[in-house]
Order: sequence, then C-alpha cells, then structure tokens
Amino acid sequence: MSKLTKIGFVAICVLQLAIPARMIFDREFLLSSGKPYKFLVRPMDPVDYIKGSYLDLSFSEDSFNLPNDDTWHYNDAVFIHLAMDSAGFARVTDISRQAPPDNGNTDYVAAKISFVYDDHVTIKYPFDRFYMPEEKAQQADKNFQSLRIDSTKKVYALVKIWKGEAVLKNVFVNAVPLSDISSEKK
Amino acid sequence: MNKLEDTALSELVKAAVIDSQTADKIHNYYKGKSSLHGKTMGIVLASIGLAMMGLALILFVAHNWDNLSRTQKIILAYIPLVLGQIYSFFVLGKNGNSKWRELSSCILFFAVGVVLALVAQIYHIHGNVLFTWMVLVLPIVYLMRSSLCAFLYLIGITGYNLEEFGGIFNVNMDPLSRSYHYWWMVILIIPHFYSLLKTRGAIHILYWAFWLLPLSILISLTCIGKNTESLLWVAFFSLFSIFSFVGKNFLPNEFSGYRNGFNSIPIIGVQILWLVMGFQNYWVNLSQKSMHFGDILGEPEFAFSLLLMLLALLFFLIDLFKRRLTSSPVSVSFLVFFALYVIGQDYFEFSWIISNLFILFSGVYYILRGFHLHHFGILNLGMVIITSLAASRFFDHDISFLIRGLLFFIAGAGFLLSNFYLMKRSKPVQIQQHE
Repeated sequence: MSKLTKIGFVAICVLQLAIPARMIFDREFLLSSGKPYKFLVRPMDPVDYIKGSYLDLSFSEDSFNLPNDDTWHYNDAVFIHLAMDSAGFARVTDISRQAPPDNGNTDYVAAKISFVYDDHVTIKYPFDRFYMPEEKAQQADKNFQSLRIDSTKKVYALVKIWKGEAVLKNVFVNAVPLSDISSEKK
Repeated sequence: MNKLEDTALSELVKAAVIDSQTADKIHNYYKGKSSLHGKTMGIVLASIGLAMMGLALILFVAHNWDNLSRTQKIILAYIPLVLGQIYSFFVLGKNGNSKWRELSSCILFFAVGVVLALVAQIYHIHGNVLFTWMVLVLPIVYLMRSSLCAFLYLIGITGYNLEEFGGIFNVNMDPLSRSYHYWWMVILIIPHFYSLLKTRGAIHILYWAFWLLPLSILISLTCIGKNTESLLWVAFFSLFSIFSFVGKNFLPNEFSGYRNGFNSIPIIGVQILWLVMGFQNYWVNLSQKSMHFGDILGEPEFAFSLLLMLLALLFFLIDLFKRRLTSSPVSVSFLVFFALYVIGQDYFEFSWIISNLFILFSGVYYILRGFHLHHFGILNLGMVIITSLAASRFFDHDISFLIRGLLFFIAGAGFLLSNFYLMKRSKPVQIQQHE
C-alpha cells in the first residue's frame, strides 16, 4: 500500500466516522439546549400513519394564510415563526424566506412548502417521521383508530427548536409517551 | 468445461476433425475461463451473503431496540463501521488479492449505510440518507479498487435520484426545485470502469456494469421532465446516439450483442421512441403547444437536451471524419428527430408521415444488414420493427381494415420468406464445412 493510499484511506475513514458523529452531536445539542414546542398531531385516516416502522405525522398547525401574495411555490425553503397558544401548543405566527433576526425574540424553524392553494400555503416540517419498533408501531396504529374518535385525548409531538433547527424528541398522548401506550395491549 | 462439452471434444478427436493437442488447448482454455467466472461469482455470492448477515444483525438489534439507551444504540450503530474500517485497512496493508478487497469494501459499503440509517432512526431524521451514504463510499471504490462497490454505488445513486425526484416521469414533483447531484456522481464513477477495461479486470462485473450504467443514466434522464416534456425526446434520441458511439468505439469486441448494454439499449430504445412518434397524437400535441424560446430557456429539459445533442453531434462528426460511420438508424436518429421536431411545430402531418417512413427504413436497414452478415438476429430485428409498425397502425381508426389486413399479411409473409431465404443461403456453407 502506497503512503498516499494509506493517507487517503485514513482520511475517508475519519470522514465516515465524523459525519454521523456530527449528525449525532447536532441533535444532542438541540435536545439539551433547544426550546421545547408541542405540535398537535392532526387526527387523520389511520392507514396514513404507519409507513413501515415509523409514524407519518401530520400537524394541526401546518398551514398559513398569506393574502395577496402569489410568490410562494411548492418546495420553497421557508422559515416558520412560532409562538405558544394559551394551552401551550405551537402556533404559526408568520412565514418568511429569510431567517428572523437573531435577537432571541422570535422562535422559528426551517421548513418547506408542500402545497399552495389560493392564499393558503401548507407547511412540510422536517420532523414528520417518528420511528418506532415494528410491533409498537402496529399497536400504535390500532390505538390511533380509537384516539380519532376520543376528543378528550390530545396527541402531540414534542419538538426541540434552536435557531431554525429542530429535532423530534417524542410523541405523547395526554402527556404519556406513545411508545408506553403502544406497549400496553388493548 | 462440462462433461457434455468434453464428450463433444473427444468425438471431434475420434472423427479426426481436430488433433488431441488442439483438444487439450480448447479444454484448458475453457477450464481457465470457467474458473475465473467461478471466482467472480464466488465474490458476488459471498458479498450478498455478508450483506444479508449484516441486515440480519440490524434486525436482531432492532428486536430489543426500544429497551436500549441512546448511547447504547449509537455504540451498536458504530460497531460494524469501525470493524469494517479495521478489516479493510488490514486487507489494503497486506495488498490482499482482489477477492479480499472486494469482500472488505462490500462490508464497509454496508457498514456506512447501517450507521447513517440507524442515526437517522434514533433522531427521527427525515432526509435523504442515500446521498451522504454514496458520497462516503465513493472514495472506497478507488482506494480499494473494488468493482463490486462501484456496482453497488451505481445502484445507490440511481435509487437516490429516483427518491429525489419521486420516481420515473415524476408526475407530482417540481424538477426545478430538485437537486441534480446524480449527474456528477455518475461521472465520478466512470473512470473506475474505464480503468477496469484497460486492465481487463473483473470482466464479469463489467458485463453487468455495462448494462447498469446506461440503464441508470436513462432512468435518471426520465426524472427531469416536467413542463416541456416533448423537448426531452431530443435528449433521449441524443443519449441513445452517444451510447451507441461509446459501445462501438470504447468497448472491446468481447462486449458484443447482449453483453453490451451500450449497443443493445440504444437499438431497443430508439425503435420504441420511433414507434411512439409513429402515432399522430405526439405531433398533434406538439403543434398545439406554442413554445417560445424565451420560455423554455430556463427549463432543465432544454439544458439537458442541448448538452446531449451537442455531445451526440460531436461524436457523429468524429465518426464522419474518421469514416467509421456505419450509418445505422440509431446514430442518425437524433438528427432526423430534431429536424422533424422543429418542422412538426407547424406541419405536424409531415413529421408524422416521415416518422413512419423512418421506422420502415430502419426495419428494411436491419433486414438487409441481416442478409449481408448472415445474421438471423439482425434480420429478425428488422422484421420485428416492421411488424411493430404494422401493429401500431392497427390502432389508427382512419386506416381501412383492408389496408391494415394487407400490412399484416405482408409483415407475416416477410417474416417467413426472409428467414427461409437466409436459411437456404446458410445451408451450403454448413455442408461445405462438414465436407
């Protein structure tokens, strides 16, 4: 093995170790330092939830009205400005193409536009997948069917947000982690 | 070499057709060839086995995944990668033979995928992991000189592109907002296959790669169409012409016929495109859409069509100046189609009629070439083209039953007579050989 090959191989090995490590580090930082936001999960047809071993989440707060503005297009990168409502759930206050000024007054998350209709834009958040073990995901699917008709139970995703970055921490049903509910057979 | 072929050889020796020395030479030649084939197949099968074992390991871990802490999960995700790297470094340091290099790179290839997939799962990351995976394994192809890894990479980038664009002929996606990373990623793998050709290494993997490479490019080209799809047909015809040039000029003779996707795919592809052009609908739609140069200038279809057409034209001119041009319908199709495309904007009926005549010309060309080369395959290709033309005109309601029936009769009779004629012409040659 030539010296150059050896250096090249070691360099690529370092990259292979470092890139997943960077992904881990960024998410761990967000989990420890990010501001927690609760996003209400929208009740929908249960067959749409389960895709393999993850839940495909759809959020109540996923659209915004932008009157007299037809400059938005599908897949545009945007920043969603967030606030909390009286019940402590996330609410969209504005959408912008540029990140809000970094003065700590506005919480925001980077997202994309998934649909534009008249004055309405639909938002695609980067945290719409919740991975679960296969058995629990199947059980969660069954549980979701009953949750759809039970208005007393609120399903929400706990997301940590920091300077536009977001990481999904967990999904809860009335403050109980979904995975705990899914392990109890109904 | 199998027993049947051995018996055939001893029969030829007994009949004094060949002497025993020649028989031994033939025997040894095929023995060497089959052992080489066996080796490559062994590597491929071992790698598939290893990949399956790796996947099984992930499934075992996934069984109790939820009970593990995040740190435990991360450590487990990293283990295959670290082991793969150590093993590959050891093989590289020992200057191990190709078998071990292929095996270790294959392990490393999947180990990188495993760590990325598991990290994405642990943190619920919704993104295209395939892109990062392929970027991280590309240097392994060159450092480890691994053809199997290159082959897997090619599959990986094709999958990435399909995922990025939402599948072939992306119906719901806006291609302008998508990335075009696939194209530089595929260009970066070509030098590996080229060097393999030069060194005559891993020939059996090359057979597969020379089908997969053009197929991958073709599939990826289908993904970019959206607003001016009709323009993309120029890109397809040009691409087939480029493939044909590459197949004829860069690949050695042993990559002929079905072994060479660069020759086979354009022949099949161009005929399918022309058959579609043989229907009036395409030309009617084209003439109804008024296209302005300013509108299409920013479309990806325009950029790809222009680039591929210029490249095809360059290769066509190189062939022309070197007087190597065999004037096959494949190599000239892009020019004919482009002319018809421009004329068809205003005179669609003209383009439609010429398209049908061109299919007929292609059919006749292959029949005559089949006769000339005494090749049943090429002859019947010509017959299939003419029959397909007759069959596709069957759907045109404005052609009378009588004419359609006549077309079928002529095509059927042509099939029988041409094959019969060629068989008759071939017979004396066989008799002479026996004598």
